[in-house]
Amino acid sequence: MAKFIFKRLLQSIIVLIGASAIAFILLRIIPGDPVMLMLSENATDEEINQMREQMGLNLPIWQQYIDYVKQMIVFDFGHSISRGLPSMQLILNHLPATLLLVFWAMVMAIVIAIPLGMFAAVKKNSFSDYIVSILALLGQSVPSYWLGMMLILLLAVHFGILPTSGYGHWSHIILPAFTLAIYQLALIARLMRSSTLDVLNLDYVRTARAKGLPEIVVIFKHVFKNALIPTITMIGLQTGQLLGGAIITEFIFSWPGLGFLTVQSIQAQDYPMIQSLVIVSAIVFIVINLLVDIIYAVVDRRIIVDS
Amino acid sequence: MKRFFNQLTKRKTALIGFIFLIFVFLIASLTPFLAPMDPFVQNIERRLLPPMTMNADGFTHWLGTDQLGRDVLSRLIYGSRISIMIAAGAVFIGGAIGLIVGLVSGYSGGWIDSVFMRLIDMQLAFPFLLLSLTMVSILGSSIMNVVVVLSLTSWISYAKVVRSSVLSIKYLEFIEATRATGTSKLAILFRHILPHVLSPFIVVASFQVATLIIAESSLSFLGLGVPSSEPTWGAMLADGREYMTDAWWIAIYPGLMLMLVAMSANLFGDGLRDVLDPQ
Repeated sequence: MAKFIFKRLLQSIIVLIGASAIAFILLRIIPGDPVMLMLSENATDEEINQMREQMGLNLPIWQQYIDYVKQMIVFDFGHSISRGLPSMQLILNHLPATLLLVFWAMVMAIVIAIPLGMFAAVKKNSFSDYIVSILALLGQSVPSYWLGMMLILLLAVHFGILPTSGYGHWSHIILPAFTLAIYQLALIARLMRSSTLDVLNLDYVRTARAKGLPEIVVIFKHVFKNALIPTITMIGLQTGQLLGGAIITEFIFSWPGLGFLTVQSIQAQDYPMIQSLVIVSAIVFIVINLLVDIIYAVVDRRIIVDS
Repeated sequence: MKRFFNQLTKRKTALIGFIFLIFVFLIASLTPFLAPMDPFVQNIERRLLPPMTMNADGFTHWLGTDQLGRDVLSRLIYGSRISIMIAAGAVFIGGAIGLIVGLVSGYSGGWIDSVFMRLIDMQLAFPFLLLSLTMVSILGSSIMNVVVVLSLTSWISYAKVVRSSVLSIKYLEFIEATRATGTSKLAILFRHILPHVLSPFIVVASFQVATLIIAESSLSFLGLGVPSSEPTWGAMLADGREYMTDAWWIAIYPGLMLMLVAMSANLFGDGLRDVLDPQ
């Protein structure tokens, strides 16, 4: 067990070092002078030089990378140019809103999709199964930000049931969370349907039925748990994707999270801020996946043998 | 090939998806003949006209006009050209990179495989949209740059699938036999292994069409990506968002088109997967 965790940890560190190098290089491939992009056109030579020194761009590239890694280790991600504050502080300020949104989106997706997928599998090839399949296909194909706009138009503007945007009251989170959830909802429903179908065909389910157990007991006691396993794996991976998907959802609903900060930083060409956001989201993704793998190995020992 | 088409026509949903994709492709290639009006001509007097309004010249704006008085239907038709062009370009380039990496990585194994796999892990750590947004903002807005960025962010999907199908056939007897006859590595790779990995590759490509069309629209929606002078579905949605309460029609149609195209590509991919891999 310890050996497995150590191996996975080492792998994660290698990936992290590589990802940080990619984020570092991204800022260096800007055509022309990044300093000129960030300052106004009528900046004096003195201002330009000062900025270059402040960003360490006057040093050789390997020296810049070493400094960058050193700072990263102590969680110093530099300063945002457009806001003049430390990037880390800005990220920590915006993180809770994003976590809240991602959490509720995942809850919505799971609570709706799992029963829906199981229901469709149990009623295979029925009218309701087709409806669920069509809805899942729609959910996977609709551009989520457009769906968000249509929900605002219908529920907020037309019927006035929910607020168009805002932060703080529970009613503010319903539309953005649902918008963010829709793709994962469709994905989980489809996966849950197919894994339930797989389990329904297994011998032990036939035995349970032959014993004369009522169908409802067979489904909930015998099928549910095993059908859930592939779904849980995907939920772990999809949580990372939600962090990326939050960018455009937060923009639509003016939700004060990391995604909103990302769009604003990109529009302001605040490259040091963008770089910090890129590297922080990579760290979050790597840590989540490491944890999911370890939890898995604890639950199911076969994984250690396979790896 | 003929058997493949026969089986495909048996899957009605896949066929519908395929026909709709061909339909959009035809619209995109025939834009100048199909668009009823010039999509760039602005006319402030005709701004925000609702669908089916006839203008003073006797032409009907079937889908209304936008905030600058441009015909929404004509812009929608021109927008299909950019969406299709970018998705096709990115699938072609990204697919080519992924196919080659997957083949080489899967067949050679060893350290080459490890290097590529770690590279894929590193890139996977960044959310797809965040990476694309950052790269486009660094490289600048242009159709070519969007194609390059989307290719570079999407090649991984192909590489992973191709690699695993190479691994599944690499040790089969017919490959061993070819090797025993002294066929060169390259010949084995391209003449004997490549044909077997093409089916899963095409399935991934059709799902990627859906993903990339929506990704391109997201970039344009945020004002990055394709220059704002071009009519794109994403940019039309961004306009529509600002006038949503007064003129719902600007935002509805491009979104519907995006959804229909993505849905067709997904239907086609699903059907294809079922045909190629009955399991």
